[in-house]
Amino acid sequence: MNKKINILLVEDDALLGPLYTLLLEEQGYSVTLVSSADEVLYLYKTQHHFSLTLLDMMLPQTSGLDLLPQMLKHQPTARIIMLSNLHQPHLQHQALSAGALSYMIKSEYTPDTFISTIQQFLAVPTGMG
Amino acid sequence: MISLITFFTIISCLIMAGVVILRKPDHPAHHAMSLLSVCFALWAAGTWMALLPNGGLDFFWVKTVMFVTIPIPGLFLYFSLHFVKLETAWTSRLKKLQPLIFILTVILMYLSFTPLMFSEYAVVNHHPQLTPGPAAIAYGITFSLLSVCGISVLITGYRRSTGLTKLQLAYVLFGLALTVVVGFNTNFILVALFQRFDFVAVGPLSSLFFLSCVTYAMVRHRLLDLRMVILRGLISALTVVIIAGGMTALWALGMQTFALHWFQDMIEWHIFLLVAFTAVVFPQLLNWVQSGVEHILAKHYFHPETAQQQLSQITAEVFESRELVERLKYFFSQTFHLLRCKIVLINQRKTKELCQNLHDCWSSLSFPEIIVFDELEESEWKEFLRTKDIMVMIPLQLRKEQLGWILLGSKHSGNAFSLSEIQFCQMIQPQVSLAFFHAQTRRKARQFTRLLQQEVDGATKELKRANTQLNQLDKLKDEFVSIASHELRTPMTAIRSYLWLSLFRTKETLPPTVKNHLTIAYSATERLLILVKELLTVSQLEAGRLELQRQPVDVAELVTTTLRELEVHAQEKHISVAVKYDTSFKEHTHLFWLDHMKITEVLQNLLGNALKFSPLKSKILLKISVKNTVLTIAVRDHGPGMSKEQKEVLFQKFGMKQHASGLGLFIAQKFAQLHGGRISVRSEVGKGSVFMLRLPEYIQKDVTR
Repeated sequence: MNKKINILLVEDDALLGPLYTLLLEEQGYSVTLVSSADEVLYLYKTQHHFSLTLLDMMLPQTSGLDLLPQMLKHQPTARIIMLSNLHQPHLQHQALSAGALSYMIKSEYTPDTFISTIQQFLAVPTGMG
Repeated sequence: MISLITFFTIISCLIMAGVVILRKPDHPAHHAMSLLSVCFALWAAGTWMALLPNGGLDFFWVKTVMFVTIPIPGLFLYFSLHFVKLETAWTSRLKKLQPLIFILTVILMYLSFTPLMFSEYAVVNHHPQLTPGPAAIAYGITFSLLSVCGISVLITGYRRSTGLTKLQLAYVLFGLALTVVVGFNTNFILVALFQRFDFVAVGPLSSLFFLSCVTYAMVRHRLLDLRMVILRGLISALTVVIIAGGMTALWALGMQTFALHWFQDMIEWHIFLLVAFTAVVFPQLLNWVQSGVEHILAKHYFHPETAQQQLSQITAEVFESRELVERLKYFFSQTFHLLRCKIVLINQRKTKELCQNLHDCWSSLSFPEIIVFDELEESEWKEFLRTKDIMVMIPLQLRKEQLGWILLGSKHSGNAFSLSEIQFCQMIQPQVSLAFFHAQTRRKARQFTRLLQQEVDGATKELKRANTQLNQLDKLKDEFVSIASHELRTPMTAIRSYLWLSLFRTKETLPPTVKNHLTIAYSATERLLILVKELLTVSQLEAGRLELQRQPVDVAELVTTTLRELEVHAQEKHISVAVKYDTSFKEHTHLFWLDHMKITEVLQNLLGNALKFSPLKSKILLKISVKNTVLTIAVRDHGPGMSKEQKEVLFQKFGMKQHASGLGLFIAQKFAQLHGGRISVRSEVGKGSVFMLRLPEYIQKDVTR
């Protein structure tokens, strides 16, 4: 059974949000795009589960890093990948130790490498069977 | 003998007369005293003349003696009335009677040369015989009356007065008592009643008791304690009598026991021995007896030695001003039996006015060492001291710096401060001043330390605040770099992604020119992204905000991974990349502690450069070795090589003008340096280049592979 994979994309940028949505949907994944911390927390609080969450580091009035532990509190098994264009290596370290699956610097990925990286993480079975 | 006594008496009397009149030329009591002294001198002279064998002039001289002694009671009363400052009903009455008394005295003096005084004078059996007349009786009555009045005045005055005046009157009365007892006996009773003229010369001599006592009381302001004077006098006299008596008895006994002539032979020797013995024994004995008697009778009198001892103990023990004040107040009150005692220190708000007044008083008297109330002339300042009940003022000062005052009130007994007490106060002034100065200094030192501590604490707080501010600024700069990178890279990512999609994903085939143009644009964005990343890294490096995150790194794996990533580019140019692991590396069992990401970047940079500059189909060789615990990665290419000038600017920012990224090697070198290593280059034009990355071993817990 080919279960539909749904991905939560948390990206507030007007350029990149639609871009990533396009790239992912092309692959047949179902994409939910939100652009603020409240929306994310709402979804997580109400136990909406996703195969993968792509979380931007720079959200309006919030740091993705601060959001991460709150999200994990609601869904400890959530698979979250940080997306960033910030030039601070130590943040990567912090995100990973806070429970993020991975840390991707957006500008280093072309559409194909982006998708292949995502697929890598999707290939690993989710805890949801 | 008599002449000697008389001569001595006359001289003494005249001296005392002079001293008294000079002391206060305007005071009536001093006038009276002076004249009294003169009368006594004349009395002595007259008596001497009368006793001389001068034929028929005896009688004349006796009358003269009478003449000069008649004014004595009158003068005595006059003296008493003016010496004692007493205002009662009958003293004023007596004062009014003065002119009458004066007239009476003059009359009697005149009458002394008439038969009314002495009707007959005869010498019977070598003894003069006098037959008193009515005038003599009148004189006797007058003498008694006036004397009694005078003495009553003195006694009343003594009873009612306090302090110095009381002491002065005590002296006067004491002197008077002695004189009366002796003089009255020798010159009146014996003469008038028993017709004995033997001791007549002693009379005037005994008057010296009275005169000297009064002179002493009038001339000196600081008087010795009379009780001590009497006590010590009696003791000394007693001791002298005992010793002299003992010596005499011993000698007499010796003379009787032993042969008389033997004694007489060595009489000088014996006298010498005795005198020497006395000289040695007497002071010791006197001291012993005196201290013994004083211990019994005069325990509560003032003893300077004991007081000094107590005071020294206080000043040695106490270092704090307040406690010092309390202890000293208690000490003075106890030692002198004072009603009150006060110690005032300057620089205290509560006593500021008092201090000012005291200072003004002190300066008005030209800054004496000590101020005694009884010694002052009547003035507003004396009134001030009287109202405050300040008997003695001791200024506390050290090296011209005013510290305060010790104020002694009146004694319980109302007695004056004796000479030894005042001397004691003067003596201890430096000692007490020093103690207060010391306490003050200690307090100032403690204050200073506290202030210093406050300042230090304040400064530390300031520093901490400044530090926090600096940290915040740094953080803000960090954030700026971060946000800048984010803002730059976001649109860049979009541009690049859409270009990529346009080039590689569209279903439509693009016209070749469009495709060409888009390809160029795409590679431009790539180049731009690299540059932005490098700019941001450089910015962080410059600010010193880049930190290494060392971890155990498998170098071989790092190399392999990096090569794999660059494989595509190598294949494009048909360049073969070979890696050689030196035995030294293989034998090195420890993992290297490196910042994985940064070293990867360095390697990427070096390899990328090598690939870029190598011609087609050439070889690139990597050699990895460990020399003296230093990891060495050498990248050899067969490119064009570099000249000396090129090598010089190689590691500078934008040094290589034609290079795509002018910052790559700069960053690589900085990364190497952060690890404590460096990148060096060996190159010659036409002979290719060798880039050597050297990284020293990090002293950490060694982890075996």
